[in-house]
Amino acid sequence: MNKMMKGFVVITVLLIFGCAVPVKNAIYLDSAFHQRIGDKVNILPTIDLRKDKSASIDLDSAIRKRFADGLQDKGYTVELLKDCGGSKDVTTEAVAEMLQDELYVLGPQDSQSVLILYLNDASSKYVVMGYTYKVEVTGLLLDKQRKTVLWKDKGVGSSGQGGLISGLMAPLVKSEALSSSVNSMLMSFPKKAEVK
Amino acid sequence: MRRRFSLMYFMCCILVFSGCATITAPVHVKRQENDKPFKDVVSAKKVLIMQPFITAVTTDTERPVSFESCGAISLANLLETHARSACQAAGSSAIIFQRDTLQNGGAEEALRTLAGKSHILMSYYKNKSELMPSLQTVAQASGAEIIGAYSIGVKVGGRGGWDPNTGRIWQGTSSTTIKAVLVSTATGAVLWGNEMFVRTVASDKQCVEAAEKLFADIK
Repeated sequence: MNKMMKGFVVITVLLIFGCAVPVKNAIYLDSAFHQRIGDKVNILPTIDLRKDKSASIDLDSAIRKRFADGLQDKGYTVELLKDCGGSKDVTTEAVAEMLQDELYVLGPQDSQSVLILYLNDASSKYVVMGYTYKVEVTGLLLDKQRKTVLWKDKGVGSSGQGGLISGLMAPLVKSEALSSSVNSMLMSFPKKAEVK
Repeated sequence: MRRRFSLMYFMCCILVFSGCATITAPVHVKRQENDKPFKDVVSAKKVLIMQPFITAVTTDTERPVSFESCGAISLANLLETHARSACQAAGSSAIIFQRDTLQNGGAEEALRTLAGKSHILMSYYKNKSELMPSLQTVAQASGAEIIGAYSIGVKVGGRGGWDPNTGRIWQGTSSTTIKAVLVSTATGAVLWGNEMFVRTVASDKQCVEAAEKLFADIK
């Protein structure tokens, strides 16, 4: 009888909770996100904010394209911009120094929303028989017309492997850290709302 | 024999998969291309040292963190001591602290404006024309030819670690950035600047070491 009760509890727990898909709250999400995001998300070149730039990283393929693929999976149309746009030629170095109020000039003038991805830190370390990689990224979606933030979140990924095998696993470790940081941000980015 | 073999097998597994990780956090520096070393800039000049600009947040959610708990307050006190010593050693004609100026009521409003626009004041590249009236007011009220400003930015995250069972290792996600600049009250130009980035919280020994080096002459 006791065994039956236990079995019942386990089944109930499984039925109610299942294998929950992790949900993450964004640092900021505007209540009018779906109304304001527009038809297309314009993504600027990734802005490198790192103080220590010793870790090699391809900003475009490692961060921007990964994020763009994730947005497409969520139903968005994306455009990867070649430059930061705006009225003047703005370099990514200049964007790195800009405050939030100054960012709304970026991207195509007639666009509704612009997404900026920042690489805050990337650190690769070979330690005694071990390799680790850490990435910290921030995403900021701006409503250019209303001059407000629609979404903001951060992703932090830290991965590594010890032992003699660590050298062989270095590319995998790096890829895992990048994926987990980008995926962490994507988790809080709402899916595209269906138009009825 | 069999026991010894098992032990060797175990050791090999540890070596191949787990290693014996020790993680250290080196200091990284991003500095202004200084024309002159610190001592040449402040030599025989009157310097006003501002109160520190501190930010402390969690790494992943940017939630504010107590300055006290992350060690930012004690690091700020340490930086003020080092700034004072560095100015004295360089032969500065006088060192004035912002809090003394505030007590005299001289440039209170101007110093508040400068603090409110600290991102411009501390920037190596940003145009400082909008700060000029405040800089001139401070210069007139205190006689300072140079303003010394410093900032501490702390991000508090998870600690690094090592799981001996799986061999998984990971880096901590905390970091501290300390930065100091010397700004001319006459022109607004950054005369000297230095910045240090350490992947630990401000209370860590490595940040204390970084603070000691911040005002040192760098070639």
